Amino acid sequence: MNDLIQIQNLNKSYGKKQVLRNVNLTLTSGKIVGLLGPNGSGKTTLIKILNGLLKDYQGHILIDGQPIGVHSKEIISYLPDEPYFENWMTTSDALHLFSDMYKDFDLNKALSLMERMDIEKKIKIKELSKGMKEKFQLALVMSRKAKIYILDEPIGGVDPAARDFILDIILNNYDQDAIVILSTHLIADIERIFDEVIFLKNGGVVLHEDSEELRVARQSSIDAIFREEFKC
Amino acid sequence: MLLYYCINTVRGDKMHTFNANIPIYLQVVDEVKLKIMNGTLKPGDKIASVREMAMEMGVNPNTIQRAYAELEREGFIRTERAVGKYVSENTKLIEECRYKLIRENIHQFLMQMKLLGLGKKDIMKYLEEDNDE
Amino acid sequence: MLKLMKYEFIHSMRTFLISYVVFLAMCVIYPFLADKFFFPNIPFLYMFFNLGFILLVIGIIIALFVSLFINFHHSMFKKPAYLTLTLPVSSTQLVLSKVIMSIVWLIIGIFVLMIGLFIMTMITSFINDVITISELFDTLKEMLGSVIHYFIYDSKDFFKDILAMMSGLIFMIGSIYFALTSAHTKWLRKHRLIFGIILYITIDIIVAYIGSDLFTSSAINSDILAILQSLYYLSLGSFMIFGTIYIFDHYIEID
Repeated sequence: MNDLIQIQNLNKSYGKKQVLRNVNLTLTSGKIVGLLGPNGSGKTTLIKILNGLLKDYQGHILIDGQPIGVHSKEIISYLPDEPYFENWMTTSDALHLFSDMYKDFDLNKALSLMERMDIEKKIKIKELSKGMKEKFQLALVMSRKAKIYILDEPIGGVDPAARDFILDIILNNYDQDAIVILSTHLIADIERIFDEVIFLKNGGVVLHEDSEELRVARQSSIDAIFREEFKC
Repeated sequence: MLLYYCINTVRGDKMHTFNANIPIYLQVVDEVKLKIMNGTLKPGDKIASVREMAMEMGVNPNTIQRAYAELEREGFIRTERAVGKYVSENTKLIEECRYKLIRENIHQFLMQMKLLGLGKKDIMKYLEEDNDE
Repeated sequence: MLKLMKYEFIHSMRTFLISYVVFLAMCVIYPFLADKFFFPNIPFLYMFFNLGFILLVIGIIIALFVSLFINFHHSMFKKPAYLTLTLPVSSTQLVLSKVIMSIVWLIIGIFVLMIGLFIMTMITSFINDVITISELFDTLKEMLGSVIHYFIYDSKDFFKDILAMMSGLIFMIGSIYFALTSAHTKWLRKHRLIFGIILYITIDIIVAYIGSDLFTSSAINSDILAILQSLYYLSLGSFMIFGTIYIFDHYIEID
């Protein structure tokens, strides 16, 4: 159990608009953490910063004890909310890319997941349906034995059966030494798998608690607490 | 509470239905206790590993961990290091708990029937009628 | 790094290869078309004055420019950026692999251009029965001979020309990458691609203007002047490549 992600005094603004204000978070391994908040709360910005897609911010971030860079990218497996493949790529191309570029990629696991999902090997990714594309991307991301998984809306536009399947994959890959950060709107469906939840509101952290303790304290589901907190 | 929970659990389905308003681990504790008390899990039986149970119920392994810790604390299961977790052989404890639970449920039932204006004799009549269960 | 370059090569291949194939196909077809519109039987001369031919060459040059812009912009700033920029490689490796592969494809392009022109003239000659197969081979041998002669006896010029070419390519690629990357920082929020293109054109104009001013002098040996000019472009190009890397490390914002 170690502190995999340490965020201190993180601030980020786009012009005059402050998107992240004084975010302080310490996340330890062996947890599934829910990053919850409405649109515009700063979730996406935070995720982009952790992945190195936004560089200009104030504050200190350490990932596995090191600043964001090549090492952090080696240990973070990121699933963005939209597919990110080039038009010309086939599923095999993507598999080869991951095998080549990531030391922790398990090709066999990816292939077996693809089989379960009925995805063929030489097919062009752009020809897959939206749901299949997302599942394929999830398969790739979860086939890496990473220390940090960051999943942005993994169950977003997916049907309920596929949702169960995805949660299944996530739980199946659970590792004591790893951390899964899941950002989502659809809390009710998956709150049962969160160890901890973080509520982000207008760029600030309003809550970071153990989910079971929260249930005891508020006698309420996380979903209900969330609705209460973010009432319009 | 147990009665309510029994209604909710969908047997045979992969995804259990949990009441998210109360800690999930407590609900897991109740479910395991129920299985022990009705004999599905016999004293000395090996119970599923944390991982297996988590997969079966579709919950976080840490939740199962907590549930098992609580069950062990109450004496319903024990851990044999490096081997696994087993149902306790403390039949006295299990019987006591079962007895207590049955009495609680019956008491609640009687209270509810009283609200409907039924006494014990009326309840007996209904029980006899309802023999084709 | 090598693996990155492999993927870069494949990625760039899509756009460059199509342009080259189309260009070569046009080189083959064009003589047959042109034949219908012009009477003169002097293959070499009329080719060069022919408007269509010029359009063809301009066409492929534009296609190459567009390829460079699109390849970089798409893989570094659009959706694929979420993949490219999260690969466990440094920005330096990323940008340099793109620079190197772009140069490779452009050099291939130069050869494609020469081969295309050659094919065009040869086919025209065949159509007009100006030349026979054996004469064709003789011409080829002659051309090859003159190239080798140039390489051995005029090494100085040869290397000077190579330096000029490489400097030009590095400058062009560096300025395109730098301009596009600069548009993806916090100082600009909308219309990033257009701004990038305008920035590139601006940089190009300014540098070329200063360059032509600096390197015209009757006092200094023209060879040395040419080399200095090449170095001018080379250093500016390198500076911009490292500038691109720097921006990626410190200021980049992906939408």
